[in-house]
Amino acid sequence: MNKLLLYVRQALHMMKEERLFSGIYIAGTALAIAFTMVIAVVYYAKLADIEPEVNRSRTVYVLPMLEIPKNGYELKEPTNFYSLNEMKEWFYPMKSAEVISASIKISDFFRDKAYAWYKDSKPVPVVERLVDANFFKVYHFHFVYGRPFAPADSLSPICIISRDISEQLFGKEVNPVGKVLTATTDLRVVGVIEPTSSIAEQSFGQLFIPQSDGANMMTIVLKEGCSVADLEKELEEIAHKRSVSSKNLDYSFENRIWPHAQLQLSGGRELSSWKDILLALFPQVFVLLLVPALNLSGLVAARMKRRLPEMGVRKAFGAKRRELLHQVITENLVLTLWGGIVGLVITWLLLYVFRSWVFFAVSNHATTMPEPTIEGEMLFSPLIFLIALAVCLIVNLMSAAIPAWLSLRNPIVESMNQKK
Amino acid sequence: METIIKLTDINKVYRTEEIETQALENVNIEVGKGEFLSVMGPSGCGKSTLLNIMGLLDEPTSGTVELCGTTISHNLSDNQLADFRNRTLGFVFQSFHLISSLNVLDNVQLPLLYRGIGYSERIRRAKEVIERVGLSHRMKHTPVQLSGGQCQRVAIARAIIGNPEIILADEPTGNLDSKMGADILGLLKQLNEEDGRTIVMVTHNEQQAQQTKRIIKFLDGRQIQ
Ligand SMILES: Nc1ncnc2c1ncn2[C@@H]1O[C@H](COP(=O)(O)OP(=O)(O)OP(=O)(O)O)[C@@H](O)[C@H]1O
Ligand SMILES: [Mg+2]
Repeated sequence: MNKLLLYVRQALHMMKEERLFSGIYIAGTALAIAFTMVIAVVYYAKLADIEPEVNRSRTVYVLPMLEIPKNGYELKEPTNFYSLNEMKEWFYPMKSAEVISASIKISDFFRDKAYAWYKDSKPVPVVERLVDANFFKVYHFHFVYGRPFAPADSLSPICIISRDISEQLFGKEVNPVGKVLTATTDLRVVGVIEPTSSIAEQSFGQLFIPQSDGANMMTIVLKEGCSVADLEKELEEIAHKRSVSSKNLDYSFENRIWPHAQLQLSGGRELSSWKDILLALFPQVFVLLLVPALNLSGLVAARMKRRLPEMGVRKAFGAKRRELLHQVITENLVLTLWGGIVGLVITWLLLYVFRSWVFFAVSNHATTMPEPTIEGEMLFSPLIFLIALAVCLIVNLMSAAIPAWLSLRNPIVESMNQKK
Repeated sequence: METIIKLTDINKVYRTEEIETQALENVNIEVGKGEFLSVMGPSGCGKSTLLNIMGLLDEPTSGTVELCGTTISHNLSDNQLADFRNRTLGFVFQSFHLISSLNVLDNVQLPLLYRGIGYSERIRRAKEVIERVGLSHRMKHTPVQLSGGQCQRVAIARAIIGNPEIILADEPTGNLDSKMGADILGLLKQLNEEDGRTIVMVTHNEQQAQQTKRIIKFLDGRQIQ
């Protein structure tokens, strides 16, 4: 342990002495880290359990069943909807589901902008969502005023709006609950939520209207301990029962069941959580890191050559190769960690400046979404720091360990007589 | 007198692409415990090579090295050799070979660091030997802030901190003026006479060699006297 301290002290001293080397090394590491971190943060923001989408890791989106004519002809496009009765009868009793919310797929919403106004005010563009009471159980919003929808609200002309819209329509610090705004129809405000980031696009909305009938998507939060497979089994059972009781149609959920991560990345890969995603991304990130790591290792190799006499002396006085390797890696780690800090700052700057571009690079609804806000939770999560640290360690090992190990193989006398 | 260094039939051949240099040829040397031995000879006659082989910094092409009754052979691993050097040997070089990024205190404690001794004990002993070489007031200086003579004192402190039986000094006064050189030699003599350490010193200075207990002379890799 106290060896470590000595190494760190020497590293700091060398940082002062070898400014050019240190500067380049830190900058190189910082860039490598910034690149990977941008990827990590984007995926984290879109896939981790972040407010209001706190249940992402166990949220599954289910599209309407496929209807296949029994005569074998013509596969019908699944344009059907779930009715409220259907929901109650077939889906609510499922054992693997904790909450089921019926709503309209977001992609059906963001095609056109909706507008809302109050009395004679100028119409304000809003992102409008049709949702049911359970929507507010799946996603956790902070209510500034009022309340979420109740099951009995399903046909009422009411709405919930986000605070930014409320401020534009009714003014700051005004409680609009009970007032009536106009969107497609007149709607009485029952609640105001804190605005959320459009990065969390499944839950995003500025004007929420009760879903009456005919949802075309179920959002299901799995019970703790239940898997997607459990849900799939129950859904297929329902499809089977309906197929048996129908004269003309067979029903199927094939390719209709989308865990959050899969829906977000609209990929066919079997990725059910952001952890899987990070693992899947690892090879790409590794290659991304390889290039800077190779450059840095060239730098380290050159420096090791300059330090050969020192290494020779240390060996003469009893240092083992393993200890010296340990020392070089620790010293480099000090630089790498500096690089990590600079890299994180660059990451945050990049994400802030290019937020629309970066976050919507993996979005299907980029054109109609308002500019995303970035929540602290997305940038400063412990996981992100952990990833940054891991990336630092990988860069450090790739760039320092190998050239150091090779150079430490030099015979002592040769090392010591190396011209500085 | 107990033999502490024994070299038997040592040959050292350097092979480069064009030429072969026989740096040492059939060298047989015994050094007794507590001896202060000078090695002399013209440049290129193999003195440094000899000292490096004695100090286990280099391997002979053939022949055997025995230190403190242990025969050093190929079946000792690099790590075992490192441990052996750490406990038995202390080195002083012509160009000091201090680590420029470490201060005096950290340079001196190096051998104890690799022996796995704890921080406070290392510092205590380092301060002790630094005081012994008269540099207590320069503890936090880095080597560039010291004169040549002071650097060599630091090197001597580093060589003796681990209480090695043997000190090998390759032209320890070669880079110093005569006054500082005499100083350093005095220090080495003191270590030999008062602490009973065995010292082998390479020198070009006849006058200094005369002050040691025994002189051997080399010419073209062979011991001539
Ligand atoms: N690494 C090496 N490769 C090839 N030849 C070498 C090597 N090291 C030393 N030699 C040769 O071996 C011979 C002995 O060298 P050594 O350094 O032992 O001499 P020395 O007596 O210490 O000389 P000086 O008094 O100048 O220090 C010299 O001819 C030298 O050129
Ligand atoms: Mg020499």
